[in-house]
Amino acid sequence: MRKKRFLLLMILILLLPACSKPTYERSGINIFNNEGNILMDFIPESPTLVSSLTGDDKRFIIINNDGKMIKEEDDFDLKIDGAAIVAKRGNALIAEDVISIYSGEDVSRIGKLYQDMNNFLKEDKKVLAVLLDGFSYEQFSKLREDGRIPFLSSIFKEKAISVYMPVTNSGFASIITGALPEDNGVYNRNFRDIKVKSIFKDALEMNKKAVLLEGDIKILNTEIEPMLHVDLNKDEDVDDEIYESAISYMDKDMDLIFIHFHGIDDRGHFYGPYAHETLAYIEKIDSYLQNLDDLWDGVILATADHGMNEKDGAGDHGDGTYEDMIVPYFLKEN
Amino acid sequence: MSKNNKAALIIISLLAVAFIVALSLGRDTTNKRMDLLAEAKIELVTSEESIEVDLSDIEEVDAENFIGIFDSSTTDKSEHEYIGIEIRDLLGYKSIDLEDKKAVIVHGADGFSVAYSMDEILNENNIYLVYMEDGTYLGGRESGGRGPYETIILSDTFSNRRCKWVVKIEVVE
Repeated sequence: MRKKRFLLLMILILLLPACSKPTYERSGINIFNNEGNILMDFIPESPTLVSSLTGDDKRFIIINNDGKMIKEEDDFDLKIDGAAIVAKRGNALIAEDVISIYSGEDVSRIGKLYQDMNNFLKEDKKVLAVLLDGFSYEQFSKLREDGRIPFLSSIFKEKAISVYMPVTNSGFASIITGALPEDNGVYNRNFRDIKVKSIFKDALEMNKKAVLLEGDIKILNTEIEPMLHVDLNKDEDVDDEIYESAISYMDKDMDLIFIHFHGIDDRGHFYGPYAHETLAYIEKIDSYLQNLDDLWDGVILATADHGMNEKDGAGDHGDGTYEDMIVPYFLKEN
Repeated sequence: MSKNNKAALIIISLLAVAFIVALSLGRDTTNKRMDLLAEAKIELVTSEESIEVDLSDIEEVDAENFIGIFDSSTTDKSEHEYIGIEIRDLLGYKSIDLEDKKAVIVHGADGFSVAYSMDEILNENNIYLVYMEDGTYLGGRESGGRGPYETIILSDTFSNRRCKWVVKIEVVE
């Protein structure tokens, strides 16, 4: 009897992994427009017409898990399919793993910065481009209302939409290539190699002098090596060193100076996006940009790689929400 | 021998074979990782010179066992035991002058690079060049490893300034 039990137990141990059913942890989707979130973590328990969730406007950007951003100008159904939520019109599959949906009037992508840099360089204009890491439109809006960031407020052009996943590697890659993750190959933080040429390659091909001023980490493998910076004055911030470096390049006849400021994102994560420390730091960045503008006789362009949402008393990003996806876009033609 | 006994014997034999195969594969992996470490070279670069160092140089510097926390945006915090040498000790062993230098930039085989300030480098027990984690050699890029060498900075809360697959250590003026 004991032997039988032992045998049965052994067989069960061997067969158990093969018998277990796969379990899905399904996440809902977020629906937002350019004013805020409409629905969060929505799971369509039965096929649901998207316009029943968003109202009359039938212009959408479907943000898919693989980084695709699919523009649609007609209604479609949202349905559960296994672990994913799919978008379908009749039997036609539009998106196979929807993360979120932007609803409403067309909005520029952050990749517009690439097009603008490229166009201005072609016109032989000098370009100072600034990546404000983790700066959401909501943060900008709050500070503009309070009159705390006069320079950025004066050069604000429009809202822009980030890419999925809204994290630095993919946002940065889209900004310097103009391409979406599905084309440039940078989907999230695990990707460093870019599959298409960036603005730095364009600049080199135009015989332009370009520099990329980075923090203490090289984020992406670009055609020019970034100049890395360390915290020399031990104030636990590298942006001031990057700023000093940018000033030192002002009289070096550069055609493209690309600056990546990290401090807004750092403080957003640590204190929260609307914390006093974070908002005060954005004011500091505004004053840096004002000072650089005083010294620069070319175009100034700026945007963010992604925004930031409040989470557990701090900040985070990486979801397809309004706070993470909608960022400000700035342009000043001197 | 009864049918039940036979079946039990077959199952136990199969498990024993699987165990021996796994053990032998593990030993094979360890040997490959040791070979990779023995063959690996790192370039030490200053404005004046470029020196190549290998395991024989690393072994001349006192290796330390220490505990480090790994924490990334996609993983939970986990504690590991590492063996490696301090980068400042390696540079000192090769008589590289660090006075009035600004930073040390470490480059990985994948094109990644990370800058450490000279204060961070000179701080005792802070920045290490490691080759073992939890008793296992780190392995190479092709086999999904993070070595043969990786840098670890203990004063950082997060692990985003670690550099995998180290191939070059550059002292910047």
